[in-house]
Amino acid sequence: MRGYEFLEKMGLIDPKYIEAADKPPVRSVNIRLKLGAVAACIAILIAVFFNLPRQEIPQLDPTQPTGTHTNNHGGAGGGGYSAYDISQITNANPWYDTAELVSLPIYDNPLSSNGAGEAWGADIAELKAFALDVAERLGLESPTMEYRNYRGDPVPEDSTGPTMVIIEADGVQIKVDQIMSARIDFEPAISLPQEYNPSYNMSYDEALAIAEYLKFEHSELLCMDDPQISIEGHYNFFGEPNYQVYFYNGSDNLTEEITNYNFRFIKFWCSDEGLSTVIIEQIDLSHKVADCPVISVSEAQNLLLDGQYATNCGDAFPGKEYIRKVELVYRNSVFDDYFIPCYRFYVEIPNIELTEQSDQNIKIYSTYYVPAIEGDYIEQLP
Amino acid sequence: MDDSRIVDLYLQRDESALSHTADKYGSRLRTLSYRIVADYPTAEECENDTYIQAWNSIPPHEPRNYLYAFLARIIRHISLNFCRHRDRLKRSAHIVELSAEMEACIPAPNDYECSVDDIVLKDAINSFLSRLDAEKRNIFIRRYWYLDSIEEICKRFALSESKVKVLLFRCRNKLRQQLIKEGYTL
Repeated sequence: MRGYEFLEKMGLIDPKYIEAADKPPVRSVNIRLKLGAVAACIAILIAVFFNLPRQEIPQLDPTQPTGTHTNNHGGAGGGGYSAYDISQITNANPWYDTAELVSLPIYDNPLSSNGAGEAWGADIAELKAFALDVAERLGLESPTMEYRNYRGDPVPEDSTGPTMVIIEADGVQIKVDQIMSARIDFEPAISLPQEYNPSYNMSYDEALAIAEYLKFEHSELLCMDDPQISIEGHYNFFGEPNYQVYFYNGSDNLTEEITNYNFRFIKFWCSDEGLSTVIIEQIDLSHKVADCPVISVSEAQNLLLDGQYATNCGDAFPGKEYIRKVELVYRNSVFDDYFIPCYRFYVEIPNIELTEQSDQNIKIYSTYYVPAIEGDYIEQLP
Repeated sequence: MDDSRIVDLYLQRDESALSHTADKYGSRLRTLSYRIVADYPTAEECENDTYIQAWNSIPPHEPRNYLYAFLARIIRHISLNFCRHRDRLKRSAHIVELSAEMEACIPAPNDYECSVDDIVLKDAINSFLSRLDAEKRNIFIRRYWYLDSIEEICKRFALSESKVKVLLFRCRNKLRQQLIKEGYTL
């Protein structure tokens, strides 16, 4: 055996050691003191920085995933969607291209990554309050509550370790994690009346029919003044539909409605057995940074053509003639420092090679993100 | 989204598992691959292959508590394989350097097939690691599993370059001594 082969054999190392080596090392006291001094300097700089008349917002890191919320994620393996036609990639985004938006808010993300890819920094008391609120909406009686660390191990409430709150009762589990996302699992799944056909592969019409039913049947869980249905999905590589039901709260104010759509939505996840999971997103928007002027779609398109975009689809932008659709969304990956509005361009990828098992008529649409705020507000363009 | 939920999506054959995985770990996986293949398009190719292999491996695997380690192991293997098959090894000075360091651990390096099967070798390596203190173990793994440069390790652990080099040198010697003592022929 040679060194190269032995290097390969290092792949046999136990995953527990691999995980441990990926966590930030515990620093010595001296280093902590040094870091503390650096942090103090940074704090002063930030204080000065935000007293400036115009704030510069650190911008997208193009090496990071696009991660624009969990709506309508694609089936092309990251940043992409598959469908026979662009019209089959659906959602009910309240933004429209003739909307006269002057500015949009930018929010500071109060969470940070702990270095092991986990969000960190939420107030456990807020998680608990949110979990109890969801339990109340469901009318759970005598639920049990426990706290777990990010590995899923139970820990005491008053320790430093809890990162999630779990409530259980009557075959229902509510799990609230660091990003203020409450996942409700029903075991067994809640069956729906016979006329509905819940499944992982619902058509758009089947999902819409179920949405109308859920809107009425689960109004207390929705807890929205004006619930808007958003059927989100596309087709998979095999030509099967894949649509699910989302709701967000409508508003007369477009900015507020856009915010609700991107950060305050509820997903109803159906399996063949019925309603199996509900996810309620309540991302912390309490740290608004500024209202920033919004650029037009054509300005954003020029930036796209100039190569100033972020994507994680792996395909270089193929050209203007392949743009099929554009919408405004908030980039809200939990690992971003700021939640920033972006234009999301859906671009048909030409000459794609599909596997033999795929439906050869399926088209692949990749998504490219361009900041929707003026360049002056951006420290570093992607 | 936490790992357990992402794994749930794989188990339910929901393709959004792939985009969630890419969102959460894509950048880190690409970085790991790039260290090996030294070429961005190839690293992206390896990343995509990793997602496909993860899709095909979950189920039966359910890496709820070690999803990143699971994915990283796949992309490491794919990337090293790429180097082997495309003869790119010569193009990556970093890998050549790491291979030379690893060779120093082998009691009697030769060109013959490995005479120790993976299960035995796995036990030997993990037994060696279990005897190291946490910091040494982590540094060793950062160097030879994550393939970090010496500079990156210095920065990560706030140690001087000479200290890291000496520490790795001693670890390699210890591993070699252990393999000799336990009678392994590699």
